[in-house]
Amino acid sequence: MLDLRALTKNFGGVVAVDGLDLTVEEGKIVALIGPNGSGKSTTVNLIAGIFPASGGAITFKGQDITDKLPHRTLECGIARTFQNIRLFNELSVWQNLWVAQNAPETRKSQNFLKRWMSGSALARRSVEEELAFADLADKRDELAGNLAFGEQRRLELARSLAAKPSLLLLDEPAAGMNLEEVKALDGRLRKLQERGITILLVEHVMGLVMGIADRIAVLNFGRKIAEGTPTEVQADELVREAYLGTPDTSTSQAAP
Amino acid sequence: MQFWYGLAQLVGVHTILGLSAYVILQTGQVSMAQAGFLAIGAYVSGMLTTMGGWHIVPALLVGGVTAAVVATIVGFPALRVKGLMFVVATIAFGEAVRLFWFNFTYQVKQGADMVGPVGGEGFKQIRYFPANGWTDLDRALFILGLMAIVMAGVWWLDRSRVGVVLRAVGEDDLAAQSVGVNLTAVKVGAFAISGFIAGIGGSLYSHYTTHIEHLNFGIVLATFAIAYPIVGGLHNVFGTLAAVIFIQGFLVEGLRFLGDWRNLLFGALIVVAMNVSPRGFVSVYRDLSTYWRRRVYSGAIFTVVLIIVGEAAGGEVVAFVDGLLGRSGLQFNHMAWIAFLVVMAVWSWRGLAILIVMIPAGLQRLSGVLRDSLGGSAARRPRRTA
Repeated sequence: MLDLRALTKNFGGVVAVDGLDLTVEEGKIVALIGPNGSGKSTTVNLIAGIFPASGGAITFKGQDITDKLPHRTLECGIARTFQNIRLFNELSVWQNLWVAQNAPETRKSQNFLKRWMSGSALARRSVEEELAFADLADKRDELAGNLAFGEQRRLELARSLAAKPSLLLLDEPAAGMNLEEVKALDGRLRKLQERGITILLVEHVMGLVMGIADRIAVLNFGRKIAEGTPTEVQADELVREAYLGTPDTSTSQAAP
Repeated sequence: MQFWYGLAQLVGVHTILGLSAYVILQTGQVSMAQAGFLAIGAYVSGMLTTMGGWHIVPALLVGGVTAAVVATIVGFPALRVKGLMFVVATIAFGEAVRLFWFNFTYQVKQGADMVGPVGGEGFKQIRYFPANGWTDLDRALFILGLMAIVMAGVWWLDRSRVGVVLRAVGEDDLAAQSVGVNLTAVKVGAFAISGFIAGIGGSLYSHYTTHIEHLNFGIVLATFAIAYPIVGGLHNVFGTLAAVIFIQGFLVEGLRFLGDWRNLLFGALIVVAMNVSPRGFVSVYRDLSTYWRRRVYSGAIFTVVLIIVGEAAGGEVVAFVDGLLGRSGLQFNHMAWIAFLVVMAVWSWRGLAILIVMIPAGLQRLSGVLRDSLGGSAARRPRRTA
């Protein structure tokens, strides 16, 4: 579904991503792990189109999306969340989702005027569904900036889902969450997988990653040093050396 | 009555100007180009009615559309930059428009006269209203009516998804882009809408002043344009109207009698207004602490009571006070405003700061008054001691 071929990104002299090859198959949850500064977030930003790649190609559903701007990649069906939460704080919870109505599916269901004025009943219903999915239905009229941290994380997830993506890029969705919230996130991600949404997950919380990911790719200094199922990756010598450390860290949070 | 009609027209035009800035401010862009759009609308529609003999309604629509087209053309390059660079770019655009009209001369013969804009001398023959027998009341109602329509339009836009998307872009354009908002389209669209609104405002402006020149559309006007929505608050269009009434009605017209003091007070009072309601006039009630509410309300009530008592007591009280004030050049009604300021001032350190700022100007004024009365005519002295 998503193919990265020799993807490279330089920031001045620093090579953030160095010839990365990665394939994400439809319906799977693929995790991208690695130490801080290894190029995980850069990869997500490259796929989303935040900045242009220095080299290589990104193909999504057979379409070249390497140089597309973020709103174009979203129209192709790729939505994302941010590492540091980026909500529209002065807008209500409901309005935050209301902004994300430019996906082709919603476009087809409503004409131009309707889309920009009130929106069709269908679009409104989908907003309500995503709010319910994120357990925010009772907070729909509160300002996003007034929500608690965990709620803001859920709202950001709901906002990206409101754009009806087929691929979801999650940049550290569990950062700062307690164990209970991580468990709830785990359940939510599994439900998303059942809905047929493919997920590319960047995460440091190994408890979440090892339990949920179908495949894991490990980055270090912008290069992929290992790829495979969670068991394969955990057994990999290079990965232990670069990131996981001692064998039993897979059940707790990795050291930063 | 003449004065109030004039003020109503001024408020109408400036509110439209403020609303044009309101739209683009929603996207987080501070645009100094609004005076330029106003100038385009003013000149284009003025030429259409005066030289082309058009009716005013199509003329002002064409004026608005022209400004919108220019805004779209300018918007593509200008909106590629953000923040301060955008401010600089739009200042440059505003000045370019002003200088264009400074150099623009195009006249046609109409009867015995030549009519049309003449470069630096301006465009002096916009006589549509008097020539068609519009009274002052007609004009004021026409302008206020259009203001109401524009305001309703912007209010509706604000409540629709357009407003939500504009605000989202203003808050975090990267996040907005990541949920599918085409930034270029939205920003240029907002700029075009704001240009259209300013163009309509400009058309009204040129027709009620009957004489425009390039100097009317400088940086000061552009600053006013963005000051209205900021002072009034970016949550609601009515804030812009409130701010225009406050700034034009109270600060500019109401304090005109203060002469030298006015400019000093002008800035200070805007600071006070921003302090009292940091999120704009619309949320003033919510923002005011009971402490401030008491002061503002009692000050206002005090002023109103003073005016009513003065008016009810008829000429004698006014004449008596005017006699007391004598040569200071102040009059009874002015005392009401001053009383309001003093009531506000003595109750808080913020007001005290304003008083301190005012002291140098006050002393200067006072010494002038004293010098006048001491060295003045001897005939006046017996009456003062009597």
